[in-house]
Amino acid sequence: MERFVDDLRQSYPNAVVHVECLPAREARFGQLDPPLPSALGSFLDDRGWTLYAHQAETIRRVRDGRHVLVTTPTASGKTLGFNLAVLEGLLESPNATALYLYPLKALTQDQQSTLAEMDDALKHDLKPRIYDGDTPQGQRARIRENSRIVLTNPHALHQYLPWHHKWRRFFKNLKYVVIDEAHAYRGMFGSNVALLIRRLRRIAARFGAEPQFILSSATMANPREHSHTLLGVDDVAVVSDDGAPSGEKTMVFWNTQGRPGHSVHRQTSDLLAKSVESGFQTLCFTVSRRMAELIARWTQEQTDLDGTITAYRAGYTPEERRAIEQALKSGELRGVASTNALELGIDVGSLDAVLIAGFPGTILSTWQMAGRAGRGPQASLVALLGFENPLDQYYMSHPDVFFAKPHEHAIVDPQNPHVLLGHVMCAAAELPLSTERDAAFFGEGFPSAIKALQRQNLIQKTPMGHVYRGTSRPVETVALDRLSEHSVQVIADGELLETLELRRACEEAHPGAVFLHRGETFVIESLDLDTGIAHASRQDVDFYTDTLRQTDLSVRRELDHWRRAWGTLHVGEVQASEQVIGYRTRQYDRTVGLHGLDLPEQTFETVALWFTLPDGLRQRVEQAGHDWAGGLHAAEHALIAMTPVYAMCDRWDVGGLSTPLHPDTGASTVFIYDGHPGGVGIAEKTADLFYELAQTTHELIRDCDCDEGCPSCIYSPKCGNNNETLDKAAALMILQVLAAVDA
Amino acid sequence: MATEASEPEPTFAAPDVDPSSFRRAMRLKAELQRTFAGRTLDDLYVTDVLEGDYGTCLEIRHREPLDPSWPAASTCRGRLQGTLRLLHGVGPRVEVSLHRAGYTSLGDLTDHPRWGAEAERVLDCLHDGPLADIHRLLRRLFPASHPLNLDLLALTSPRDLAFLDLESLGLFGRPVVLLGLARFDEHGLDVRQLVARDITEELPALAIAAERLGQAPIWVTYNGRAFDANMLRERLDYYGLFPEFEPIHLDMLPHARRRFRGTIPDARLESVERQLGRAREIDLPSALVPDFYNTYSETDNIGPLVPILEHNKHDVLTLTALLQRLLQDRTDPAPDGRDMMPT
Repeated sequence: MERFVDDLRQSYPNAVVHVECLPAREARFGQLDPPLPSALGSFLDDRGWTLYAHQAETIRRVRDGRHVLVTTPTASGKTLGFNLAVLEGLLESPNATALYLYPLKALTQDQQSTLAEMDDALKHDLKPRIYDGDTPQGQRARIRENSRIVLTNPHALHQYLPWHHKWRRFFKNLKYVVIDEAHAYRGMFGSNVALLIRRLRRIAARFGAEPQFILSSATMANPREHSHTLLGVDDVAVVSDDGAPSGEKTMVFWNTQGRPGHSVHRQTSDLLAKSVESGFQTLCFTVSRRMAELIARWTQEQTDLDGTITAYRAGYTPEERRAIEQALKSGELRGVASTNALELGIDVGSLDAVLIAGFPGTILSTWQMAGRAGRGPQASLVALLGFENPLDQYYMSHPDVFFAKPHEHAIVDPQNPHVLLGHVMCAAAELPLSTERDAAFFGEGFPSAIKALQRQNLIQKTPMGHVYRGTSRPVETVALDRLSEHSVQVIADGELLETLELRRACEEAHPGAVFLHRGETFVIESLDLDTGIAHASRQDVDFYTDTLRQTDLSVRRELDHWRRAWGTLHVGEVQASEQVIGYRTRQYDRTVGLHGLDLPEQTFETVALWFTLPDGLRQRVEQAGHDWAGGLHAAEHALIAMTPVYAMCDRWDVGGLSTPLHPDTGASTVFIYDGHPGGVGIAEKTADLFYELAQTTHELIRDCDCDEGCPSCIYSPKCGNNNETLDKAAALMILQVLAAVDA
Repeated sequence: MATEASEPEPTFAAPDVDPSSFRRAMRLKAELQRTFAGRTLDDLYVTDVLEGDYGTCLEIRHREPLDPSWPAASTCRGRLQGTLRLLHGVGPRVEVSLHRAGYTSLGDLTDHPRWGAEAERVLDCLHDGPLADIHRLLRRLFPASHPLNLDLLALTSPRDLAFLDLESLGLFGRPVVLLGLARFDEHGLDVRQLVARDITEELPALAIAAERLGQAPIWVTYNGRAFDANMLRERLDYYGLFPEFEPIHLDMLPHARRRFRGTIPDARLESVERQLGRAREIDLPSALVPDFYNTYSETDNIGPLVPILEHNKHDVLTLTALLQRLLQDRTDPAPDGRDMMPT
């Protein structure tokens, strides 16, 4: 493996920009006093397993009655740790039940078989069962009445909570709630799940149960804060001291920009072919389904290893996927190109090498993918291929930041008024709402939510509490992954492709738009915002489209501000209006057509941070011969591009506006706003970490090799102004000031 | 972050009803509001305000001079006694071999070395109850539409029955606003409608209905296994009352479907009542009950409530008529005898 890396370094000195060697680690074991009950003890002994330090600590914390978050790396045996803790508790109390929650349906399968195997060995008949949309009707009542372990996902739980009268035995005895992959619950989805968990706690409380929560999560900057916000409790014990052994891991940073003239896809398949040919069983993560297919095909074509390389992605039938997973485990397959469908939890055994083609958006995801490489004490290889965009390029030129302590924060905001309103409505249909008792679950926004629901005649005050009296089923009007007010369904050949929020539909599903779905291209033929339907037709086109947009912001209410040497930073409520006014057709990065669109303006209230800059700075920038407005615009793009370094989110979560004179501030202003109506906490978190963000952004621009700006620094793929009037030098001067770095 | 009054609030759309029936219904509603402006329910019905443990609700009383035609107990008991499969351990195959050996009823089996004791037990049950045990057995052995379930009724008194039909603001998770109950007594059929005049009266109405239903060993509903009984339980649970009902519940829907198979387009009660010669003149689509009720409770004009009350009363009466018809079939069987023997 060392030779392979050396070879890469020598052959591609411009591409291999960094090699990090993570040394092997010995196992550290833990002791339990008292030991596990004999049934569990022999389960471990029979397999020759000993508890690692963090597994023992997890069990100790659960025994203490604490809520627990386990945040150790992928493949460290988190699952075994919390399963032992749960099973011990269930063996002790003969009626106790446990609920396991997974973000994706696919993950429940693997876990159910693990638990079923343990249950068989223990001979305790706990009946671990999956209960979700795929559970046959005929089995449902039996599971509700008999199973002591139920595995499901948040979307399904959301549907089942109103039926709590059928789950009385289960909820009354609910002792543990296991939330695996807790980092997946962030942003809009996470905010909804946080409220779903409060609804679950409230129903359990009604039956006299107060379950202990056991969370597992990938490494992040704010594990404790995240679990507190997600659960609505404030005493979570964090277990992070990983005792599992690991072999030496070599991590190669490969900058695709170091090999101009070679497409990123070509570089990826070359590297995959080399790795497989060197005898390494290799998994290559790609950013899209189409790319997974392409990489697999090209790699296949350039090696002699016929039939041992394949693609893997969502969209394959479950049988096809199981077959690939099996062939990977058995070693029969030597190379697989996959979308992140394989990232989460699915067991394919461990591999020799992992290639990550394109930074997956967060370091958290990168490590989860990297965790797929490494068998016990054996050495493993991970290569991260940096693409042409600011985040990728930032980490390519700042690997030290990548390997420093975690700085990505998971953000949820259960106080988003829209999200809160929906879940309070659902809660009112589950049990009558009590203004006093339920405030503990729903927080400070609860009284206004009650008032709003009363005004809409959706709840009525009775001596038993507020009772839901609307005509539709609340759980059907509230979706966990988007705001539910207005949405657009994109339909092709009578088949529903996707459901988009109105704003996003204007951006992506306007007439003429090339709409990407599962790596296939569709052209939108019509968009009717009144009926919420967009019609698309499948067309294999070699161009894409992006929109021209006009954005306006007005400040509604300032929530906070901080004076800095350079000016003032604010956080507050704003009204954003966005209007898509046209779109461009682009082919190979050239604009080949420009079209007008007549779509209504979308207006929403959200939370933004903004900063104003003094005239003195403007004069300095202009005296140096630079364009002030172009500098603000470029700084805005780069700041937004770097936001995910601190606040985990994607391009749909954040919007921006910059202007040399804003009517509400009377000064040169840059706004960064939360893209979700009501906000999910991104603006607040970004304001908290603004100094760090400004520094990082400054480094990004300063260290980019381009002269006048490029897609790796100040260009934005989402820019509504065609990336026009951007001034890199002016942006650099502005960011120098914001980051308080001497010029 | 606080929600301010000026902020646009999310709204949740009403369910779909086809536009022409919706327009028709809205015209009807307006007309009813004009007709009944200023009038009270007392002007139309015999009413009473009931005071329960959880508050008040309104009761409307009707009396129907109906004489229940009850099947002869001996015929029906004979059919049940001829069902050897009621014995624990006797399946279709054993039943056939017992028949071949000359055992045609439970009475023949009392001296049988293997089945004698069990036969005695079931026979006792058929004479002295509890009938719930037989009912449970029938449910396990046969489809819900099996006429032996009707035969079981012959072993009871008509006064043991409670007919139930309820109206709500939606299927599950939404309030029940009207419960129609009917019992036979010495004067005929006594129909009581418990009305929640606003949502605060839902729980009192549910609790009073539950108490009364608790006194009836047999419930008769139409689609009540899926809806009415479930909904009653769900709503009581919602308010934290956790009732423990264990009635014999006879849902007429499967029986009606079996009886009228091929002659009605679907198994809705509206289709069945045409077969019984009980079609209604104007009717309110169920989907619009919530809208009419809301208008009533918001405006205090009883007009929109009247068709809901009438609809409910009509359903309860149809239910009793349906049961009568099906029981008649048991004593006066169809010539082809298809409803006679278990299949």
